[in-house]
Amino acid sequence: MVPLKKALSSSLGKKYLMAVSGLSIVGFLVVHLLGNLLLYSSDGTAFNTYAKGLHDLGPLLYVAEIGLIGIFGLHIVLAFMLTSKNKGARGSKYAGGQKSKGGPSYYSAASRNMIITGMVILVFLVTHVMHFKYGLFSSEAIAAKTTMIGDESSMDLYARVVEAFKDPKWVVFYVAVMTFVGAHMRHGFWSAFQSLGALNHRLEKPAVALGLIVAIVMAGGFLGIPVYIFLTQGLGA
Amino acid sequence: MTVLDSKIPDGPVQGKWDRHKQDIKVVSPANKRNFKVLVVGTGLAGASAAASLAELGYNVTAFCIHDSPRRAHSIAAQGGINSTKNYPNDGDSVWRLFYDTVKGGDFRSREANVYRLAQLSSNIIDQAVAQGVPFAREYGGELANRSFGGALVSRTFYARGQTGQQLLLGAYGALMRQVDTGKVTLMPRREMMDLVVVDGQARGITCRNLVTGDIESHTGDAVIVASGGYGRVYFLSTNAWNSNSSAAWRAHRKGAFMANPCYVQIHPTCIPVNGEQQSKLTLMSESLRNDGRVWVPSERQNDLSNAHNVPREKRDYYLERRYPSFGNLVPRDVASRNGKMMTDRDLGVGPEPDRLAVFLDFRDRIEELGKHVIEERYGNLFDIYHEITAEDPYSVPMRIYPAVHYTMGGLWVDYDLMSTIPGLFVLGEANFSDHGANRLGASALMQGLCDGYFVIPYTLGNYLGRVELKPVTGEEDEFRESRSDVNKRIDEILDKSGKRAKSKTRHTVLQLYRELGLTMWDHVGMARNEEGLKYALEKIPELREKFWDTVIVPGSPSTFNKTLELGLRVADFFELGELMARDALTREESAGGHFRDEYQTEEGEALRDDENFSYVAAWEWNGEGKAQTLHKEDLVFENVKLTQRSYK
Amino acid sequence: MNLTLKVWRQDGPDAAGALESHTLENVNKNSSFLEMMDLLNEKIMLDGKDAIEFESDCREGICGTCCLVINGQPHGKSLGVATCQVYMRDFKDGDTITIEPWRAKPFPVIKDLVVDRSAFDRIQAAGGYISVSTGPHPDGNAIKIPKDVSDVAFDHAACIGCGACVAACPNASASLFTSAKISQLALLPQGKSERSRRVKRMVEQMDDEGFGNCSNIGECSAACPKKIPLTSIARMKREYLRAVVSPFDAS
Repeated sequence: MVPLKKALSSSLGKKYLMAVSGLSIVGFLVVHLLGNLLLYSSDGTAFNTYAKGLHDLGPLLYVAEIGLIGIFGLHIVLAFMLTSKNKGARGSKYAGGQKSKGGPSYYSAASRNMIITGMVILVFLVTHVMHFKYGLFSSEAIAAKTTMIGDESSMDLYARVVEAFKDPKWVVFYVAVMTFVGAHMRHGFWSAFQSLGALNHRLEKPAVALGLIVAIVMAGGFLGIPVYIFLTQGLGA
Repeated sequence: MTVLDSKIPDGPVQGKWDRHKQDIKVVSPANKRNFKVLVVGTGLAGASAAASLAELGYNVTAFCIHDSPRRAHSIAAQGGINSTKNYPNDGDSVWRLFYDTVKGGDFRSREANVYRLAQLSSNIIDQAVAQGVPFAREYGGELANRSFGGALVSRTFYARGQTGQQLLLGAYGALMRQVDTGKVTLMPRREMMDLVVVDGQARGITCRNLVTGDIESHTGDAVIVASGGYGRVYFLSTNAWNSNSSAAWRAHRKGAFMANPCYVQIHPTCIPVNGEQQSKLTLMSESLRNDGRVWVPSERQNDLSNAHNVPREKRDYYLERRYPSFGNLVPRDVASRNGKMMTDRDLGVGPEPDRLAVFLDFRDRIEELGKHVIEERYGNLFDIYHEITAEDPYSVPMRIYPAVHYTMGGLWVDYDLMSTIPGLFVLGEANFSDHGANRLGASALMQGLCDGYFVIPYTLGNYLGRVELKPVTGEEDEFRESRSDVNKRIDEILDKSGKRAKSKTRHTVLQLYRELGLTMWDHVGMARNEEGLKYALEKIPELREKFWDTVIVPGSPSTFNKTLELGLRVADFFELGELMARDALTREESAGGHFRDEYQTEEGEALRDDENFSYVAAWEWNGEGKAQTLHKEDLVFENVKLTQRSYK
Repeated sequence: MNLTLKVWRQDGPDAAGALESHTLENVNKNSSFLEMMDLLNEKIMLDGKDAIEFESDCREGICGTCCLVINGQPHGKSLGVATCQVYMRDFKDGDTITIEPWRAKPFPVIKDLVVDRSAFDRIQAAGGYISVSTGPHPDGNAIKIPKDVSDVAFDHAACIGCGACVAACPNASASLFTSAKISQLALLPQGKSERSRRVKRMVEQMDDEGFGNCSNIGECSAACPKKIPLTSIARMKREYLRAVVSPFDAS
């Protein structure tokens, strides 16, 4: 038996943790996307009701948020640790550059730049939380705006979202970042199963294909929201 | 009276090894710890010996010319390994393998050694299976066998076309396990440059660190040389680039007799030479002859670009015609010689002007069995052929030609595998012991592993348990002199004195090496005669002189320097080549791989002279510039009847 | 054909290296890449300079000695071949070819194109074997191994230890090499009794040598002369995970 601490600090162990945290994040994103689908309804009530529901979880929400921060944090810290070891292991670069040999290789912009796409996502994550959770980039009026859900007053998150996505700058920013998310998931999703040793000669190709589908669906789902709002409310208004 | 004592135990051949094991001195486990054994070479024989001796408790230092023992040339053996398991129930037995090997060797090997080899062959398979060697299996999960190299029974075990690789990796694993326990000290990138003999006993070696160039002395209580064969004396051969004879040759110069150096195996199925820049020949496993049919056009044909257009009646399936019972499966020496006979008659195929090839044609079997069956059997070999020649053997016949492949000769050893220098043991292809004048297919792996796993662990004790060994430190005169000799040789080849720098014509090592190789191939090759051998005996010393007068070896002695390594090895090849020619000239008969034009039957088969040449020729070094002395070990056959070898 | 060759020259592990340009004429298109290198060295030496150091041995793709990165690709552009199996007919007259050594921290350059791959031997020594000593063993047929299991074990056992996987991996990871041996022995019944100890020790050694982590890019498998699949690495991860949770192996 390999002691757990030793196992987790090994190169394989770090990748298990990367895989588990990554897949957890995908799980979170699926839930997040499902909730966000409510934004496709032009009546903000549904979305605001959902937001209030989450908010009303009270302490449980804090637990969930701390959990998410932990998972993201683990994924990020490990990513930097792994990358730094990887860069060091190459030593000096190929003077004539390196070319993929193709064939069974998954060498691509996506697989080669996980740390870059990851860092973009990290910057986005901070911005995104500041923006919609704390209303940092919203106008004062919108940031303070409330709405009535049933007979209770609640924050009008929908208004915050709509205000942002009427602005083409935010739309471009979100769309751009979501392509990075897609690229990250394109390699990250199937790769997590490979890192956990879950693949064999029958499952590898399907997992890679599924990774592409998941990346397109998730990135597309998220990316559609700002575009949809911009088209229906930004341009229309 | 001969000075050679082969120490073959008395009694019937079947019981010799068992009886010998009872008589052998056993070193107690506590004492084994006090002995240090140097093993030079880490191929099948060396790695298996080093691992087995370390498991017994000896302290072993293993010297490896490569960066890793896993690269030894044993790795390139394709076909398989023989064993008398008789799993196919087709009548195999220890006796039959013994008889086949003695006969295949054209009755020029020692009965007792061959019998022991046949007896132990079945242990090797069990050992390899226990190590996890992935031999081919049948659907029922049992080991698969095939017939190979002129045997009438299926006794060959194989792992696709990479049997040597898998067996070597098994032995390498066993060796690395002992490196892990600390019982083996592995010395990679070391080349043995000299043997050190103190008080008549082999007590150490001088070697060169191939990275730093340091000349190191290593001391031990016994030295095991398992450094492979000397086929690269011909320059072009199927042997690897680093294969060389220097460890064995340096031991020879220190008193170990060199036996039967003229016995060289020329393998019939190699990819023909293509161009002057060629450095190496590639073997096509002889398993191909199980399904391929060898032919040449019955009359000289100029355009053979589409060989399938040659009508059947204009083809000469000469092996099937001349040897109806063995057909295409005749032993290697016979197949090679017949191929040469055809090209000598100008019936060869392939590029002008040499046309040095014959066809190996799969068309009939593809028609009969379907392409997929042939693909499954030989797919990787067909790929190799396609890669090298850019021709597709599924649609045009392969072109093949004989190439030097293995050397049956080597350092003389007794039944315990000890050379004429006490304490110097020689294993595997480096010794002369088991194959006589011709080796049968799938028996090189068998012999290397048999020597390393199952013979030396017993016989080494028989020496160490009986002798007095005084302590040595590596600073005795013998060690100092050896180091200084090695340094002198290196200085000379690097032209420290600057005498060569003045000469107008300079040659690279490869240029001179190619010249030696060509001389050897033309005159000490597949067919030899008195005139050619005498010419070689004049030519080789001239070439050697030319080498020392004009060779360019640039670079420093104290860094990685491949040209220096090769230069030193080639220098030894000149001396060895001369001895090979002398041995071949002295042996006035034809036997196995040694074919003298003057001694053949009316049908052109090898004609032995058992009355006068049924002996092992062991040559003793007499010093620089002097001819070696020939010693004869008479071969006594008590169990097999000497017959004219016939595969008709 | 005539070629321009840019070859990496470096005096030692700590020396700085650089690409050096050479031209070479009359290269036979049927020559192997290494024969072309021999020819280049002949020319260099006749010009009175030091030969370019590179390694090769069997020159038929099985020993794993040769190790050149040709135009940014370990063992050249073709799949499933070693450097010695690259032929000049793959190139055109007038081509410029860049030739570099394997690049990885754990494979320090010895000289020019020669690197030290002894890290692989140390990984192997940590457990790349079945711990049996020489001696009597059960009959070879006493252990039945289904043909398909034996075949897959062979696919992994085919590794020649050349290190192209490391050279090709952007992270210089040795996962494919290490996992090939682990997979072979994990598949065979003979290897099962020490599987936990084996995977634990070999992975530990692999990490200690300073190889990078596996990012599942799969370039290793594309560079592998024996086409060892990426599933080999997945199996190693399973074996390791199994060793983490297995309560039976005390080691």
